[in-house]
Amino acid sequence: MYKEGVLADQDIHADLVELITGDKPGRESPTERAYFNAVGLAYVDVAIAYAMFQRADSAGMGQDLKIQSEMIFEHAHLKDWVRLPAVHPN
Amino acid sequence: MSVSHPHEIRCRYFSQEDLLGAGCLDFELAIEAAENAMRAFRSGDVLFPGKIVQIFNDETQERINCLPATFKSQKICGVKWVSVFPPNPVLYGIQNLSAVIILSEIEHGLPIAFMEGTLCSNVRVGTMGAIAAKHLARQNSQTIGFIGAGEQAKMHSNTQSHVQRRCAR
Repeated sequence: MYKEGVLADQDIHADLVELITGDKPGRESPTERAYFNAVGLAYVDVAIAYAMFQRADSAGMGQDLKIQSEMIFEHAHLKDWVRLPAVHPN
Repeated sequence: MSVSHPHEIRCRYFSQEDLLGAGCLDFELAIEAAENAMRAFRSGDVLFPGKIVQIFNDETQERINCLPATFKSQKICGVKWVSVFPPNPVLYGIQNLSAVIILSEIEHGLPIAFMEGTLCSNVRVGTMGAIAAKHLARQNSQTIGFIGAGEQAKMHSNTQSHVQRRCAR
């Protein structure tokens, strides 16, 4: 509707942020017709994920995930792990 | 960090079952987090550069999206890596959406968590609808209609009845 021009900017009463901050009123009468178009607000995913992380972590759930033991050149056996081009004696 | 390995980096991993077992399917938790996040966004506390979309099939819209955001005052940066493969349920009998989330702290820039993200993603969808309903729905609403009955509809059904709990069911 918006793309087709049926719905103009001034027809939009508020966005969700304006409703929760109280900048704009929500429903004002039982006879109003409200249409809410939910678009993804991905920063909210990160916020909910962080809240879930805090709860799950404090509950002692989850597993330890090791990313690294040491920095690359601190590994004592790095020379055994590094792949060098094969030397071809001619 | 241990003394012998001062450059060790560790983070936590949470499966969906870990999150569920810890009580994370909690709409009060999600609504509070979402409302605080939107207030933080309004006050300029959120870095939200926009999503990166990679579409693999223009016809079916199979895609993977990368959605980063940072909450500066909480010193948390995270990203949701979410795939949407619309044909999955019909063709393969598997879910069409799957997500993982990485959270990092922004004092040293190290990861703190790697976690299942489909739960969070679906909870967020229901949560945003619930917050909208709190402000926009008639207080005596008793009926809700759905077009489609997938995971998101189930989540909406739960979150809507949560915010309308005071009404007759």
